[in-house]
Amino acid sequence: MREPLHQEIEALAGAIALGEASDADRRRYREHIAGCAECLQSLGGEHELERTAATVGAARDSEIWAPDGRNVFIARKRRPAGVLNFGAGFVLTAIAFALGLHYTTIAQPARMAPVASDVIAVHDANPAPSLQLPRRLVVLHHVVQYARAPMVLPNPPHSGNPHTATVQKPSQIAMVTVYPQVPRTQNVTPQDAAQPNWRTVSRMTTTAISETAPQHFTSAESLQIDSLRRAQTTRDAAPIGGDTAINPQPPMIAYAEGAEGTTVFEVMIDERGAPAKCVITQSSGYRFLDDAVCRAATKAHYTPKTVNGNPVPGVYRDAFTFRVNDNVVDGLPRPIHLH
Amino acid sequence: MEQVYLVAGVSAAQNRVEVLVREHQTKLARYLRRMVGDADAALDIAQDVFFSAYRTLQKEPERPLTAGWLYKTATNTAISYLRRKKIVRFLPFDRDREVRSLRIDECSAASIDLQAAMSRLPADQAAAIMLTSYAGYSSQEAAAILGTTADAVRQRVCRAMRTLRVVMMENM
Repeated sequence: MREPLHQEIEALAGAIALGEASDADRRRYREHIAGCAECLQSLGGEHELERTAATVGAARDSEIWAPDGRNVFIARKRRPAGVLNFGAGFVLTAIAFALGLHYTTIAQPARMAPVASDVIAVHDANPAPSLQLPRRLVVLHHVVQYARAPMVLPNPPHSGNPHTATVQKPSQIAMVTVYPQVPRTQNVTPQDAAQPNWRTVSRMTTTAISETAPQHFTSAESLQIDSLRRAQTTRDAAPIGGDTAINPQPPMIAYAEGAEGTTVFEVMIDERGAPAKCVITQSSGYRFLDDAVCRAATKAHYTPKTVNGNPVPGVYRDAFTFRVNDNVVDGLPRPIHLH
Repeated sequence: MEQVYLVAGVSAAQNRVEVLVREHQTKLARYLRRMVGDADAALDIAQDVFFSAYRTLQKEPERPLTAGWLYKTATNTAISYLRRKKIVRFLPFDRDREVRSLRIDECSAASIDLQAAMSRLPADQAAAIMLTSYAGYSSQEAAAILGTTADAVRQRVCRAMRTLRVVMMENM
């Protein structure tokens, strides 16, 4: 048990995290952590507390799961009590099997009986509509194309004529084309080739994949949502420098492997616009591609999310698709032009 | 005559429960899923909560049942579920599995961090942080729901924040 002083500080910290602290409380907390390394380290300053608390709100706001379409009161089939979950159920079933007896019925307590059948009859006729709020998941899709191994590996695995390699991979969106910045002359030294310098050569289109939950609004709900929208003007976090701001550099091994895939990631941007953390939410299947994306994303600069003009911590979501470009002419990959 | 009265009472209770369900089932089920970390168990507990609301209204039709009553019942049921679950938890803690069980469209970093922290928190801290930061009650209201003082709730929130912060740093 902690001493009373620290209990008081914990209560203050909790109040700050919940936005309930007065100025005097905040001052008291600041004074304490100025002299208490332990509290400073484990709890952080006021902003740190608020940021941690904001994570909980962000998690809640990102949820779309809901009881599927029906009234939980009537729609659920009862399951065995929580105590008799996987482990106990398995043991009991095993015993029943071993004894050759049907003891499994004992494992299902009286709760298994349908609950309130009279209620079911009444409610079934008129199932309550589920409340499903709309949610848009917008993922910007960048496609990074890069040449196959022969032109950059110091020792090409096969010495085929690059002019003949004209197989064009179908790809839906081409936006960013990246290829190694090597001299157009053919006498590339192995040292140069071993360290390709990637750069973006063309920009084509920006596209958004949006996913919207089925919308069945009553007019009252729409009105409420409209009024919520009006109440606050929010601008999301975005990288500074437009679409080229994040420029992943796939490592050499990406060539050799011919690695292709889509990496979806999130960068948490603090209120100053600094990237605090990068998380891969969907892997491309290649660790090195994911790492390259996160490395590039944490190097970029961002504008913070703002609510009514005030910067707040936010999240930037984006995706990169990596495609192998086999369309090599004169030792250099040609960007795949797509419509 | 008595029968008629009973039917009238039952249908009034049903109507009121239906209003409660329509208004609160999604929020309450999400709250419970965070608490117990399992969608099926959350739905079961949500059903229990609404059913006990129905039973209560059958007995006392005039009783005002608010969202606070629902959250109180839900929290208590979830806490006792967690206590029971602890005894028979055979499966090792596997973060990847837990992340996969969240739907892909809500695999946000914040969501993963919160769920990882929730699985490490004792039930009283989990309830405190969920009622305040997640469900939006003030510490006084949460204290009334949990049957404790506002300062105790703030302390628990602070301790939960400490764990959450550790999880966030680990995943960085």
